[in-house]
Amino acid sequence: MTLRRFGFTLTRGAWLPLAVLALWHFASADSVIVPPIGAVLDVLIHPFRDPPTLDSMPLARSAGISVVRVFFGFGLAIVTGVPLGLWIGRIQWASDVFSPSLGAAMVISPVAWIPVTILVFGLASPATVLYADEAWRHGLLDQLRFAIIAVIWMGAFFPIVLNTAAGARGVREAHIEAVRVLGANPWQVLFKVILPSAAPTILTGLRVAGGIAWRVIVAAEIFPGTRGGLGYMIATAHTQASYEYAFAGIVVIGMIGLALDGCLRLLALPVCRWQPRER
Amino acid sequence: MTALREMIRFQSVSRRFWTEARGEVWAVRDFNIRCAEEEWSCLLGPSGCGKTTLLRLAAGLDQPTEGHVLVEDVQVTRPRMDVAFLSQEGDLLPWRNVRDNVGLGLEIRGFPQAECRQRAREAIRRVRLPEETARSRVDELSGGMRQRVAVARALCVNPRVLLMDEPFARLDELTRHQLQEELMDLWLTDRQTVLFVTHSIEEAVFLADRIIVMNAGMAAVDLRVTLPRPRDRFSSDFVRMMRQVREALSQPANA
Repeated sequence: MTLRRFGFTLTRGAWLPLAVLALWHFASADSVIVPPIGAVLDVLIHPFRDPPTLDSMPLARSAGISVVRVFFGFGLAIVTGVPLGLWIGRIQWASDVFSPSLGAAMVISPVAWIPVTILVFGLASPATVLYADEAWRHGLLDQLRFAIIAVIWMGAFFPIVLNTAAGARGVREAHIEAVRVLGANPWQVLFKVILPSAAPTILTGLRVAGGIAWRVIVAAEIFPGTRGGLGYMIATAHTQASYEYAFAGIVVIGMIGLALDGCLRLLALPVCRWQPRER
Repeated sequence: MTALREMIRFQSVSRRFWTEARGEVWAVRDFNIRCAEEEWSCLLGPSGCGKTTLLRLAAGLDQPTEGHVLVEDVQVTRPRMDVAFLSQEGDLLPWRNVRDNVGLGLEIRGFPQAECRQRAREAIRRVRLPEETARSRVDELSGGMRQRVAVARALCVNPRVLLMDEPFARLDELTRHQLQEELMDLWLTDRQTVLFVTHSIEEAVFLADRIIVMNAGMAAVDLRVTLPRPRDRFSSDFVRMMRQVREALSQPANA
């Protein structure tokens, strides 16, 4: 897909959200639950303003905390999932050992792990590990609760592993042999053949995993012990009937999710360019 | 004239495979040949007679069940830097452009990028590809051009032994003839030891110094081709040689 085509797709994709906005406008006319678009827009265009009736941080800070949490959870899932997927995809006995367990673990909703991760990690964060009682002074570090990062990791890890394994398994043996006869060592085979060949499938896994990570964060931030993030802001807005913040949070989640997916698709452009036209 | 030294030796080589449908299958059985340096040998035979298996053993991509394959008196246990292998499909990497495919062997050997590119460009010129194809993607090329790129990639690393597995089998006749002639010109300059697998009698007679006719995994007949080069495909000697090979093909394995 070229950049121009990508832009065209984005433009066409804007019609549905616009229709939803129109529907929203009519729905909010006589409603006490659905806030008017204007109120939500007011929250969106003042992202650094402290919510007056809400025990939460400003929208931008909440979004920032969620993004950082996803960055670490998703990043950890990539760092652990891609090597494991490559291993499972290329080594038969590793596939025999891991595939049944991965298949079972994959169907468990990441949200189901939240109580488990809270039991295991409690309220621990990098700040509590490094600064113990002074942890509360280190705001962002304290927000990176291990329990939340672990839940995001759980959500993103399995699609990354399974897609990477499928990509690695699908590499043509003839391509591997072509570089082996040129004298390639196993690392060169990995970096010059297996990774480029599997890249389109790996990136598909990353897109799926990115979406799941971003969905999971909201659920994870609603659970006890969290003091920030978009999920926390939405949950607080609900309990205090500040629905414009809840809606603004939902809009921001959608926009950041779209941006994340867009980044991964842009990353995929040069990596996957060869694929559709291969004969 | 001094005798050329031995380059490749198949010593009592057998290769057995297990298949679900047929159980134990011997692709090659007690195969013995010696190829001299700068000699062009063709392995000729019907499909499934073990030609490709032998080439893979010589390339170090597979190991014999029994016996040994030696290149320059060293047992082949893995791919060697001085042996190049060219398969039927060329096996070019579709995510790399032509130049990067051709320079891949040098890149693997750790040559600086500038040198890889320069030598790749030279190799592209040698196989008579237009210079502008250097930056083309592999899937933009015709079958003949792809095989030229594969030949350039093999030659780029200056191999002493060239193993070629029916490299022109998928091409139309005109392109095949053209590439055979071009390959012959290149070989007359470089004089590598070539082991060439084909099922085309005409191709074998046109290219080879020696034709090893295979049947059921064994060397049935070993024929010398003494026709002068360049060879005329329509000369009576050429046709006579083709007939001789044709007769050899119909002989049993242990003849």
